[in-house]
Amino acid sequence: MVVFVRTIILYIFVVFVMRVMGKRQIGELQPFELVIAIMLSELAAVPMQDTGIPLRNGLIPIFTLMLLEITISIISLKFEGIRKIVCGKPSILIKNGKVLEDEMRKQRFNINDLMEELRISGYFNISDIEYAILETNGKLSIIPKIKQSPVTKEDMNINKAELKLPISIILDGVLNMKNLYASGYNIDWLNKKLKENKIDKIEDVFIAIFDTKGELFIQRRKKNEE
Amino acid sequence: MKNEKKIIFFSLIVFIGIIILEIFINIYLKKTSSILISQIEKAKQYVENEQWNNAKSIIYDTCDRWNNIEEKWALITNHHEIDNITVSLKSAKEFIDSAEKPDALSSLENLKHFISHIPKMEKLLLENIF
Repeated sequence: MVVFVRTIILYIFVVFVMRVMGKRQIGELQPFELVIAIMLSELAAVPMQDTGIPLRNGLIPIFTLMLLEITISIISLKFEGIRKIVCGKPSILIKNGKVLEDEMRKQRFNINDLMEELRISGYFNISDIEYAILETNGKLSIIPKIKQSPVTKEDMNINKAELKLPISIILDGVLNMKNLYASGYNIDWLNKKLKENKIDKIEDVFIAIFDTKGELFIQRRKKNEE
Repeated sequence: MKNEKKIIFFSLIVFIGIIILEIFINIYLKKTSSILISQIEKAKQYVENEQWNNAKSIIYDTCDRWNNIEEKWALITNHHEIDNITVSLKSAKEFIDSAEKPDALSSLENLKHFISHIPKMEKLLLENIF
């Protein structure tokens, strides 16, 4: 029972700390963030199962790591020099279609790793690449040669309206008034639209969403159809 | 920006909170451990002079005090350390009850060591950090 309660407390605590640390923690990790993520999991797991360790011994280090993470990310946001020290800087591995051997050696990145990354990104020849940049989070960004880059609408002179942000109005029968007003409509308009789709009540709607074209997509709930 | 300020403010509060809490814990451990140690010292003197009734009353009083302190220490320090103190205290009590001078003295000395070890462990010292 004690372990059960401890697990709940630590879980809530770690989720809270991860939320405070921000979205970057769950996305691409910088070196200092990776260190914190690894330490955090260990710090939470040990007092969770060992009832001999007071909860304080898990909570204070987690809080301290959170403080360090926030401090380092704020400092590195304000000062570029610090950012370079903490996060490192991107390295160019392929420049003008040529592999930079010195940089590869410096980053301890072998040619097989490079070829693998290129293949994952859909490029099979080094000669197709203009630039390959090893980012600070370990991912490889690739800029292909112009003749290999995909054709865009601009290249084809196709004029299309910009895409809009999709906004959900009703999800699983629950109306989101805030989103409805944010999209510039009101409840009367929504009721009219529902009637047009032969739906009597909001509760009967499974999903109603403004798509990227700005058009309202409505789908009725399945159980009510039967 | 507003969110960033909120997080900085929150972090600052947490930081100050941790520092205050740690200072408070240190003071509390020092205070309670010194009370217990002075009781044990007295008990040792009585045992050395073979004043068993006085030794008994002081060790019983120490047991009562320890029962109150134990719950609070369990929130702060390793539970194995607390078990060590409880075991030593119980054996010291038994040895005093049965008037076993050498055993009583050695278990009181053990007890003193275990109690003094805890605030020492929490102190911000180089030997504790490294």
